[in-house]
Amino acid sequence: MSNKTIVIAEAGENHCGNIQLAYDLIDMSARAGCDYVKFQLYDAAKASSSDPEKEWFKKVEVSDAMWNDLIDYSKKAGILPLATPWDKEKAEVILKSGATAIKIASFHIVDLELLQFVNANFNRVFLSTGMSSINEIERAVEALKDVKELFVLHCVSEYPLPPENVNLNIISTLQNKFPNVSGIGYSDHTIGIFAPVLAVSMGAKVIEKHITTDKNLEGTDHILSADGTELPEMVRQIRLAETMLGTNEKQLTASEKENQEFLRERFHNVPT
Amino acid sequence: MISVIICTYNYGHYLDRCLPSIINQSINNDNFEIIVVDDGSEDNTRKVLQNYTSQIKILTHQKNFGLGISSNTGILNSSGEYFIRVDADDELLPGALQNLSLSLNDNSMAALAYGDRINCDTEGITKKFKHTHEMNIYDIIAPGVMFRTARVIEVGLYNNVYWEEHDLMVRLLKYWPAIYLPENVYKYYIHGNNMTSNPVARIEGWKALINSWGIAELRKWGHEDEMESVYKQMMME
Repeated sequence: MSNKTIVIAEAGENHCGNIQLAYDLIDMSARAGCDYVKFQLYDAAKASSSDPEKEWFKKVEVSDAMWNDLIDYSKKAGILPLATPWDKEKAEVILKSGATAIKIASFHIVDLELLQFVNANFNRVFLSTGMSSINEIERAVEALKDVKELFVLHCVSEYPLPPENVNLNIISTLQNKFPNVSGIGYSDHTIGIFAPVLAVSMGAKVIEKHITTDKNLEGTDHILSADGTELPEMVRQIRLAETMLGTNEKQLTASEKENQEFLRERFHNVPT
Repeated sequence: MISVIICTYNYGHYLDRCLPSIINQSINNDNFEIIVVDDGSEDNTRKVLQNYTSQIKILTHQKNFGLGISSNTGILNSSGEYFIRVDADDELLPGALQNLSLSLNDNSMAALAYGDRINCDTEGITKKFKHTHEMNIYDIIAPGVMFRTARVIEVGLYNNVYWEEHDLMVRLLKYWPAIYLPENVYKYYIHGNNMTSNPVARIEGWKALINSWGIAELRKWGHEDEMESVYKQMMME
């Protein structure tokens, strides 16, 4: 996938349990040039009966059959499917579906059983780090040491995330702390698309952004999600940022060489 | 890397003519990729594309979005430093990828390189179309032009308008030069069902372009009879 930023379009529960909406989200991600479109896999029956969102979980649950359908649809649309499992059983479902990549959600960073299963079975892993300490991230990275390509994603678990809490400078801290992982990324929960583009300029190799077809739909994530206009614009700006970042070397461009002599001597003679 | 982008809508029966003209280009296959954007076709497009799956990347729109948006889908999914659009009903002439990319390599500031074309009518009669050295963007058809991808990304990709290629070229050429390659690079088939053969849509397209840019700006980039007559009509209304 060259040195381009990997862009994950997080559909999450923004399909509202409607398969057509899920298809629309996949199409939208493919059109925008994202690398992955991601869904959450969990068993709603496992939510505690006192959970205020239990009914909602039931409504937006992606069944195993639906997941396989979404895989087929994604491939046809021209984008790779990706999933976040909420337990080891769902990680097994993802593995059985033929996936070699998987996403680990922030709240699973301390789930050693899941991490060990992922470590043994997946080649490319995206690990989110919201709500966790550096020590917890260190332990999770250690637990995932056999993974061929591990990406550690800076993430703050607030929805929406206000600008003063984004803390993008942590990207360089993570780069220094984990020099052996494949890259540091950023999973975004802010409103709009500025933070992801800024994160790329700071060295993020993976960007995850929630997506929606309509910001007015039911559910808490729509307002912080990129819609059909914002998503391609985000990818466009990410590509532009990558181009503009260039190399680490100070070198004169061809035009600069021509300009050097002319501009240095235009008004006064600079000693050569 | 060069990305060849083919946007197709119900042009399945032309693909067996178009795709080989690209696959058989003289440059190494590792140096270019072919991206087909199926813009919601309802014909045999999907079936025809099945024969090429090892050589092309396919992106499917579930409904018809139009050429501007489809082109953007192709660009945003491309990895090439350069891209060139080829319409599904046309052909790329031998050497086109190599020679256009060399022109861009040699002219690092240029946003695009374009060449001459061969127009082919329904009877199979061909006629060469040669540009003059004075650039007229209205004589250039959008497919067969090789763009520097980063420049197009910089100015904001295609807008979803009827004359999307003229609109993009005005935005690019305000800042960056174009390179003319005086040789045939493209075979353009005129068959009456071309996307630009609807006279009402053409006129509405010119009106939108004039409203968006103003006639003075559009005249900077060449002369176009139909645009002038639409403008005259707009002035009388």
